[in-house]
Amino acid sequence: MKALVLVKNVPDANSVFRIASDGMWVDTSSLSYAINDFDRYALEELLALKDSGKVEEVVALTVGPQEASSALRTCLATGADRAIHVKDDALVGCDPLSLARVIHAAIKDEGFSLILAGLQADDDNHTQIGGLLAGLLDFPCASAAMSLNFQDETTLRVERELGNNELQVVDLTLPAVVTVQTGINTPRYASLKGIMAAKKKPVATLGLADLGLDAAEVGASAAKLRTVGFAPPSKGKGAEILSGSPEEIATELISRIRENAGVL
Amino acid sequence: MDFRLSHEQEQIRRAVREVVSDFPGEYWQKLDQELGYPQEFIEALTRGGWLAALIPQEYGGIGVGLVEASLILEEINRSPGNAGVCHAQMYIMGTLLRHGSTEQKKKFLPPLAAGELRLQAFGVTEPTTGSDTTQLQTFARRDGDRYVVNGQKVWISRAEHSDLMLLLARTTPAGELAKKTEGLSVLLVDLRAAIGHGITIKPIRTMMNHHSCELFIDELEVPADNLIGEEGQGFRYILDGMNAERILIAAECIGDARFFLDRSSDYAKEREVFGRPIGQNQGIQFPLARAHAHTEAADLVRFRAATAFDHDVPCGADANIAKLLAADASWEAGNAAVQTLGGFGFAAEYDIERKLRETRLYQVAPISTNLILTYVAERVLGLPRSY
Ligand SMILES: Cc1cc2nc3c(=O)[nH]c(=O)nc-3n(C[C@H](O)[C@H](O)[C@H](O)COP(=O)(O)OP(=O)(O)OC[C@H]3O[C@@H](n4cnc5c(N)ncnc54)[C@H](O)[C@@H]3O)c2cc1C
Repeated sequence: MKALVLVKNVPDANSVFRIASDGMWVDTSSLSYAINDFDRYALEELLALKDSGKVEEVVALTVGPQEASSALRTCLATGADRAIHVKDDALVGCDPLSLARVIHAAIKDEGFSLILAGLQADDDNHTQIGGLLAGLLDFPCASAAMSLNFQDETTLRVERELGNNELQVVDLTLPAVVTVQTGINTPRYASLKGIMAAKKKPVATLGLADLGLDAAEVGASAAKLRTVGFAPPSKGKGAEILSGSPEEIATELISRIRENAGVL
Repeated sequence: MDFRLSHEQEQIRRAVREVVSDFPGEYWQKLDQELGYPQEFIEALTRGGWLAALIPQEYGGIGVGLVEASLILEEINRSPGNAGVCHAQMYIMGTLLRHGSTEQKKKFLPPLAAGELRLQAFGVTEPTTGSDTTQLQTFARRDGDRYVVNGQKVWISRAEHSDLMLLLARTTPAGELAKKTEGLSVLLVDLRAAIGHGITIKPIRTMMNHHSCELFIDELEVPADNLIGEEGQGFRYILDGMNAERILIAAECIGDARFFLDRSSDYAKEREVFGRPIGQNQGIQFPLARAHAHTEAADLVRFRAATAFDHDVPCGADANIAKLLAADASWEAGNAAVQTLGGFGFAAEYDIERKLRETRLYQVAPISTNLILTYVAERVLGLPRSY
């Protein structure tokens, strides 16, 4: 069985975040990037399936600029077999639906039985790609997976995390798309051997022309979802600085937590 | 000139950072207090193949260069940890690799690469001769198919935690030599068999947890098959290994310096006294900025030396200079860090005081600063020899 993991290179949480001068996104010049945290768990899930013999080949795919290839290299170094990098300047500013179309075009003939993605990307939080791609492929999709277990060759049982920590258990008939939560496994680290071996693993780089797509269909100009504003979080209205001695502050804090949050 | 690291080198940095993130300050504080050995840490590094970096692939290792190896050790020291506990596993085998026979390499390198065998001890220094290595007195007498060794070594690190030791011993009496750099030989000693049968180990309590020992060697038998290279050429064999050691230790010092600077910059931004962050005072800023500049300079020479080593170009001067600059920079950064953290700089919980004790070693070992300066003065600048 062939499996695909979708990954994204996102600003890492230790970066310095400033609003860009156009006011529509953060200033990317001061950012450092790393693989989206959710995607690491998705990858680990597939690598574990490969270790157990369920999956024969693990492929990682990203859509993004040249620098995004570092997310793919991370996947290859930790154990993915090959990678697909879709990059095209015309895709800067495209919307989630177009992005899903691009991914669809890149993989529709690959015959993947299982496609995993992170539940969301740490930067834009759209939580859409997995679902949209499943729609385009006509595959079933389960989101927020907390565990994946094969029932038989074509049935995958997925425990999904619901709002109040309940778990819903669903069975998917393969081929299927699953988006995973963080914390569902312990992602392995890249080994030195893995890093050096990754150098020789194939990375296919594809542009829109290779996919038979036109910038007018999927580029920024075709976006039906556009960013029109971007603002830092407003200073919390409910925030209050407690004063007094450490003991007084602690006592006050405990009583507030008791009253307001109903815990303790 | 392109000073950027390759993708693989960047990944090495990131991956080592992940491994060491499982070993926080508390782990090292506890070891320091209990004089313990970081078994779990060594195992984690071994699993990832990190300590087999320099062993060629044909012997089961990874076969990367000294540039990459130096990044690994730098990142360990950039954490609260200390690569002194394991760095020797990386480079001591270099003498075996470059000068050992094919049989010796086939026998020892694969289990070393797999971490099944530890070659972490290097027996050079002696109590009476110190830095004057060519005068060492431990004597290995050839007797049929074996050597019989007698003598004493001091400061031999990790001897209690290593399976094998590379021993430098005299095989020709000093008086019978035309050249004083000859007459020494390198023997691979199996410590597991030798302890209690020719070697007695006595740990030395030091200002840091470095697992250094005194070795008393009495009628120790070593198979002649364990002689590395030719008899009498041992000093030459260990010299090229020493360049690798100096470059790697420079990288560790750079890691230490960056740890001190990371921690103290963060602290100086947060800590408010007199109504503003202490880091707003130039009295706090300048020592940190200066230490940073010195660290960057040391880093450049480190990479120049490591690149030369990897290309088999003479690197003795750069290796020594890198170690000198890096050890100075880490000490300067550590000192500035203590000053920045004020009282907390002395608190074990903050890791600064411990790492400052640890980094202080590199002004003295494996070669002292004075002897590096002597090397630079006499070998690089051509000044008259002082000894
Ligand atoms: C914690 C620790 C771990 C060690 N681990 C090992 C190990 O694993 N294996 C090993 O073989 N050795 C090890 N050593 C030994 C180390 O390499 C030596 O301590 C070092 O080489 C200095 O030798 P010495 O201590 O005998 O000092 P000495 O040679 O006595 O020197 C004392 C001082 O005099 C100075 N000096 C000496 N001669 C001159 C000169 N001509 N001009 C100017 N200054 C001079 C030196 O620079 C130094 O400052 C370790 C040492 C320590 C402290």
